[in-house]
Amino acid sequence: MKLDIPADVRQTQQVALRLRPGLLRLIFRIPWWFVVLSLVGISVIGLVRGSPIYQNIFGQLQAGVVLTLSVSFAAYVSALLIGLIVGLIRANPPEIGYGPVGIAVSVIRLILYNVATLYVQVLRGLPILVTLLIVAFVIVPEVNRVMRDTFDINLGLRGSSPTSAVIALSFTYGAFLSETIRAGIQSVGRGQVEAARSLGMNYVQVTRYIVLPQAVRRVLPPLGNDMIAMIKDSSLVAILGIQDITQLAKLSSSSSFRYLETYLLAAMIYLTMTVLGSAIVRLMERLFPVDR
Amino acid sequence: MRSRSILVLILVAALVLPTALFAQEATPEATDESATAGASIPPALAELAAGEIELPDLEGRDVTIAVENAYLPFNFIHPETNEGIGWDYDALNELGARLNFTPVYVTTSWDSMIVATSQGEFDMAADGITITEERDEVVDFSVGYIRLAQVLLTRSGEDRFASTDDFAADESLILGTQPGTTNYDLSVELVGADRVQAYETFPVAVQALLIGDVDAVLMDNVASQGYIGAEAGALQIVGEPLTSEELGFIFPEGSELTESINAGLASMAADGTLDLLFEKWFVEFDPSTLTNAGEAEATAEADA
Repeated sequence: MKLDIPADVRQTQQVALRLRPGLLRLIFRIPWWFVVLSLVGISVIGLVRGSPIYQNIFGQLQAGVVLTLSVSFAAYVSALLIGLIVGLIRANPPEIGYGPVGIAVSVIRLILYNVATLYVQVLRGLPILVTLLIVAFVIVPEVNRVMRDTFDINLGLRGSSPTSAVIALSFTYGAFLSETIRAGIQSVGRGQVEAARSLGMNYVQVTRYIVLPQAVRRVLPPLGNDMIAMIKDSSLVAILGIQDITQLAKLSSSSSFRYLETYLLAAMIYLTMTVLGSAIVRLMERLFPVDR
Repeated sequence: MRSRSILVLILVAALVLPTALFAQEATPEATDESATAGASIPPALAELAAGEIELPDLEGRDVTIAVENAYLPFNFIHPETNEGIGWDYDALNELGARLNFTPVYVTTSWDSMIVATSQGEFDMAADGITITEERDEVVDFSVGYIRLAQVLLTRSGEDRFASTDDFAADESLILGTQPGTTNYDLSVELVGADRVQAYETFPVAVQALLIGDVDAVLMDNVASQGYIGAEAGALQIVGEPLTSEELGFIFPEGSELTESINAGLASMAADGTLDLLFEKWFVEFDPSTLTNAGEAEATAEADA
């Protein structure tokens, strides 16, 4: 029985078979997006080395790289910790216990679960910018004031500092990451948990040795996604006048009026960081594969 | 009152990020009797006003005007009615009446204002924009309509410094301002870029001053009067007025509006309207009266 192949498909098939199969496979495997991006990057590097204008701007912008990376890194690590704790709480909704100890534990779990859910809903619901401004201009000054008035301790915390940004970013991303991690935890089959329990493992052991290793492997792609998103959201510190790449780009371009050159360079710097970041994430996915 | 004004400042800052850049140099001239709190009519405009003025008729066309709405007292949002008010609105509405055009106000960010105008996105922009040579290369300026001075705004009871020299000398003091402004340029000149923290908008910078993140904010004297009024005794000015320049409206290069607006400004200067506006916004204006709570406090004080 002859298959009814449309004429144009058959033509392509015939052409394709004429090329050596190895070459065809090569064309399809090369990451052309990366080739294009690298070519753009190389030409930008050429521009920077060749032109004093570009060199000047680059010199101004690269001073912000350390700050961008450190804010992103600190915020992400904190967000991961928060996300792990909150995700675990949310993955185990409270159940009614028996006996005095059981009821006490249930009440604690009920409180924790509701606090965690409230946290996730609120922090996911606020724009990061608003959260940042609230942390910088409401929460930090209040903390300073309370410490000064009640305990006589002069904390002298600065509201518009990278620390406020790290706090705002880590709490916001913590909310998002907690949901991701919760999804990962819940994706691990019940059967495994029940089997482990029947072997005598307690909850901590089951989580630590059975559930988490699988859960984290499964959600590595979205976790990596958020790490890259964090690098971009670190640019919000510019609102508070902190001199990261974006702020330096704004300062430079507003006095030189060279918006094209400045933002082209700023974009390339961010892209370099984020593309490298996603390459690292893919490497980790290879190193910690999901067992199927 | 305090938390309310903080909330207003946060909302203003969060909703409208860029702010105008103002920087003016010059010791105020005593051009006329009215106490204009350091704002005066620049000589070029005074000359135009003294000569013959021909007001063109723009036939009721729409003129899009970019404003930032985050720069007291030039253009900002009335806390209760949520409408844009300020010196710019009054002046431009008056110009619209005299030159027969309809002002269409578009809120935009300070960061993009000059570039967007230079590319023709707006017919003009008003944000207390200082006339500088660099900017003149990309946009056209109207004749300067105000000369002001820059001042150091600080918290009340500041005793660590009494002048700008003192401030510059103390390495630990940080100056707040806004990027892309001549205030920023002067700040860097005074204390170096490391000691300047450039916030997105001036309200955010003033909030940072109030919570102690920065030790002073360099801004135009008329704007500082607005914040001093809004913060009821928490702020003061320290030191002498610094350099000042003239402010002007900006237009895309080669715009035909420039000459018309100049004629309009000249006629406003000639019949004293400009002075009235200075008086209204730079001397008498008290931001606390804009809110009912503020007004009640003010009348209570007056009665007591």
